[in-house]
Amino acid sequence: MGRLWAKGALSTFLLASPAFTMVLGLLVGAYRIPVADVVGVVAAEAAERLSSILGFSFSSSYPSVYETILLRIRLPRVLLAMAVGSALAVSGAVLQAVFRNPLVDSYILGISSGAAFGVSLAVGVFSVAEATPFAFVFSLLAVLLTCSLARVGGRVSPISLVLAGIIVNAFFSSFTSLLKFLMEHEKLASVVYWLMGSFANADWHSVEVALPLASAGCLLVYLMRWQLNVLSLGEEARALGVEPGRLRLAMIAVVSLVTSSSVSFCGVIGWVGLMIPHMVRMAFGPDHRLLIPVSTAVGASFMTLADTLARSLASYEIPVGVLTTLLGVPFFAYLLRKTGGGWYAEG
Amino acid sequence: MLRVSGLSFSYSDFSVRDVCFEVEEGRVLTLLGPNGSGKTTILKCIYGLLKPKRRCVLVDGRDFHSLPLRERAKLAGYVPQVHSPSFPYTVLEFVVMGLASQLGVFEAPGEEHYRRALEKLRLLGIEGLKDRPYTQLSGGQLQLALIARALVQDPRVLLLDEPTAHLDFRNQVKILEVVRTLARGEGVSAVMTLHDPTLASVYSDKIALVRDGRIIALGSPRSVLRSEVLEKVYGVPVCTIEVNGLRVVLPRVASHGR
Repeated sequence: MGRLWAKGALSTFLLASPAFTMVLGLLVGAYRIPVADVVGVVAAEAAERLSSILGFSFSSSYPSVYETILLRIRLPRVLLAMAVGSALAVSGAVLQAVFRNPLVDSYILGISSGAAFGVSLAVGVFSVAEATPFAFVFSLLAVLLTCSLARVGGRVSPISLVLAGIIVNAFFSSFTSLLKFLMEHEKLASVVYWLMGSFANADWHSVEVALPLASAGCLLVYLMRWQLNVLSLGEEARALGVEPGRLRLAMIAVVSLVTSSSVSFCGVIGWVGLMIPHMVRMAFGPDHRLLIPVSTAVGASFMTLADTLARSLASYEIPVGVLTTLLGVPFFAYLLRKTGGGWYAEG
Repeated sequence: MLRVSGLSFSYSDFSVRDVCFEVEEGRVLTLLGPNGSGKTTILKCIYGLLKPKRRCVLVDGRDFHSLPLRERAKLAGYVPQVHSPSFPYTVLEFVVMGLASQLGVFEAPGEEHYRRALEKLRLLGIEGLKDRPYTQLSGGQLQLALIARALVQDPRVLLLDEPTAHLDFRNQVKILEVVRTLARGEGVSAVMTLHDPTLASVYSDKIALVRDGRIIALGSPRSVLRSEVLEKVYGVPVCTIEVNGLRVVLPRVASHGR
């Protein structure tokens, strides 16, 4: 009973953790703002937006510097990090169930290499500043290519999807390399920096696109969370009266959409989709009814913390994708050594 | 009651032709035959996991294949030959997945569903394992869990593909006892595939001998398990003896060299 209670307490804490990491993310920065004011400004802004919807008037009186820094710079950045963190973590959990393979994340579908190609094309060939639409279009194109390539005899099997993903990844990567080779040096630098992943370009526009998409995606997956248990049985689900094909495609569509939107705003941030679901499975077991909501929350918290570190550790900004990998790898290695991978199937 | 009449199916290089049999309520039929003779294909065709050439299966008088997959799952339970585990769900979670066809896409099982799953675990005597990760079960326990998962819908027909594969003698006997008890007690019509003619003779009401995708003998164990028929099917010399009114099948050894 004690263990059950501890698990309950831990899951409650983790589910609530995004609130704390959000405050922390808003608090940390070059310009110091007291905690009370941080909470006050954000609460006032929320009240103001709400009041304009509900039709009563509300005005706050905080220094305008505070409002500028918190509302224009830090808040959109924190919100974007949360949206992306949740999206990547949930996508990883979903695809690991769909593919019955603990080693996949959403990049296996070709999303990252498609996005990278789109950005290289935008920066290197068309010289446009706004690379996001390119990244988005090409990452979705890559997924479509992967899925159509994997379709054999009207059906998409997990193994053919993984293989098709490898092919599509290689296809786009080779073109990206070619483009990079032909690029001028400054352009090359900006493409490389983009690929490392960063929230430095976060603004309200990106939040307005990524946050609703990620929320809707996570909500949909949350609603179908028990079906993921059944889906993780693979083709055997048919013997239980569930046709896995359509459900699988629906899941892949949701995952592709949220991951592509994330990647196109902040670049390729690795390890989150792989690591977070594993950590949660270790603590709470494989049941997706708990795995999905906790992964959503932990993904949001982890990404916010990583981004806060990325912009405060040094006088310059560390690419957050590098940081997530640096943080993730040792922890993951520790878990592997300690458990021998025992949280997945038999050890 | 299960009635199969004229089941045919073909792969590019193998076909099952004109399979006919009936299994009454509470009875067990065993498909017996060498590897690659089409036993598993027949089972999969009955459930509709493979699509036979024409509709040929009646369950309690209903055209089984005209029903959608979800409805079929409520009438028939399928126990697969091999199960490759994915994530270490608890036995109870694993068994409750047998109710997937009764739940909507956005639904999760509730108290009532868990009660039904527990009931089946109790029936099969593995209630004590309910909180164990099912990936840590022994072969016999896993087979029982798979049967429990197939039973949780209270199906009229139970299809078991080699339920005794990879099990020791004790567990083979235990599983086959369970199948027969379920048939008798719950009025289920059971069809299973086996490799051991003697075990088939002990635990079946009817045996269908399968070779090259056809049933070449069908009837009571005593009428089917004759040495000349078995030799034709398996291509090895055999002899049969009677013990307590049951037919025992043994390989005939050329000489017991001393």
